[in-house]
Amino acid sequence: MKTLMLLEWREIARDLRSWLIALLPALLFSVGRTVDFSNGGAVLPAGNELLDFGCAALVLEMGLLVDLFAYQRDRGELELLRLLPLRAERLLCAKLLVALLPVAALGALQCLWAWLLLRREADFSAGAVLPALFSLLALYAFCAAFGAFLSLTGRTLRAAAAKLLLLVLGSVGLLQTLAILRPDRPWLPALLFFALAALSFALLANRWKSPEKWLVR
Amino acid sequence: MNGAALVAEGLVFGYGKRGRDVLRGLGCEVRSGEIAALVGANGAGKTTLLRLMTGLLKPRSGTVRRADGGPLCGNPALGALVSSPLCWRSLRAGEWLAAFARFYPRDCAARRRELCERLDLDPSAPVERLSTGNLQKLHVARALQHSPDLVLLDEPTSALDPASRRVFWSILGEEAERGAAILVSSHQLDELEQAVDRALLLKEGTIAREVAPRETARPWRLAVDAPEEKVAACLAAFWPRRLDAGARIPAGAPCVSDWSPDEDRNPILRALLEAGLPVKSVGPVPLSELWGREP
Repeated sequence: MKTLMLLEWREIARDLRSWLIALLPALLFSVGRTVDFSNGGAVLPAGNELLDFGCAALVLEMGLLVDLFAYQRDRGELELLRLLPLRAERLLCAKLLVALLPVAALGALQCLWAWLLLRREADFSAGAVLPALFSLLALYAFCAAFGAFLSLTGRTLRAAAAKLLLLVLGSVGLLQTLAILRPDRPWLPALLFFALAALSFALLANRWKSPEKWLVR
Repeated sequence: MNGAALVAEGLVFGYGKRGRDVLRGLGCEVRSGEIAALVGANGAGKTTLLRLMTGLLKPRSGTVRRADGGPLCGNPALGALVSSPLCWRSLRAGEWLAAFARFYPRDCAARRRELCERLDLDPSAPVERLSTGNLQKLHVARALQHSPDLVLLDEPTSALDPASRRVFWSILGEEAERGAAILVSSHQLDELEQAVDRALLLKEGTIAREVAPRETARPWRLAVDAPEEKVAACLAAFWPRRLDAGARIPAGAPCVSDWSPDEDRNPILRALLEAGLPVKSVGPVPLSELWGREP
């Protein structure tokens, strides 16, 4: 299983989309917050802001991850791996771990970065932020596993439904994030967010030309 | 030749919950030490059957079982080529094959090198830049490098050049001699005539007939450049034993008749010679025609 995971990670590391998947949430949160702080922004009570930013980014990230695995599945790569002398459970487990571990690690890094930023705030308290951090990590783990599972086992309709769900959640997250931006300086983080969201949506579609491909695997 | 290595019984399969049945109560077996071929029209269900045999698909009813009782999918004794997808694209051909080999208990290095050499596959070539034919060679080498006991190959020569095809069939012959049970789907009838022990014709969701494609086991065809009445009179002693010749030749064209492979052709030819009737050709009935007939 270790061999399989190493080979899979090597492939993922080569995929440009994988790097976008990895960097997107960190970029969204870090750039947005840095700009906000440099302009005198403050943290919302009880660390909720962390979740607000993190969730939207997470949803987009998971959409991309699901798409990456679905793409591999479309190409029949999974079928090829199933011919290996590995039990189906071990193969599934390896694929889940391949998805779960890097995303969880990146989520932790994102939370750490957020922590460093939030420490500057006067009303910061570990008691208020820790639950949000843990919630975010848990959400990461769940989404990674859920997304990978859907990609591995889902049929066309289920996978399309999952993508649509992720898109809807992504849109809600986007609106939520915009709503909490301060009204006097909303344009820069919002612009960044919009640009990255548009890019990730386009990548999620995976095929740039045909709208029906959103629904067809 | 030994016993059955894989047995399929009463296989019914269709795609989707309500899709029509592609296979309808199909039964067949793959025997150790034998190369069997699966032939049939496009959409007849050849690939579906092979995928059922590898365990990638589950039948609606019926069973596929290995003689040793082992699992179908994920069995180290299985070598299968049911499609040619490419994972781990960053690797070179040799590395790619070695990556697969690491999952098998046997040391495959020597066999891998031999297969690459014989199939003229460059191990240092990046797999994502391989041509269609070389990609097929790569998958053939992947399926065979661990010396499997059961080999299932779906159109393994469709993209190979003639020289590579010859090498492929010779490799497969060696695998069969080693005792492997081999089932190959193919449309290349000329190759099957030379290399295959038994051919299964898949038609309307079941095995319509089994044929021994080698020339000596097939009915043979006689074409005499004379009217049928004259030929029938000359061969009066043998004529009732002829097989149905299928399509009759119009008047003025040679008289064509097919004969059982067991029928001794020497007395027939002698009788024609003595009667002065010119024999135009003698040879095996073409496989394509044989499979087109009703069983």
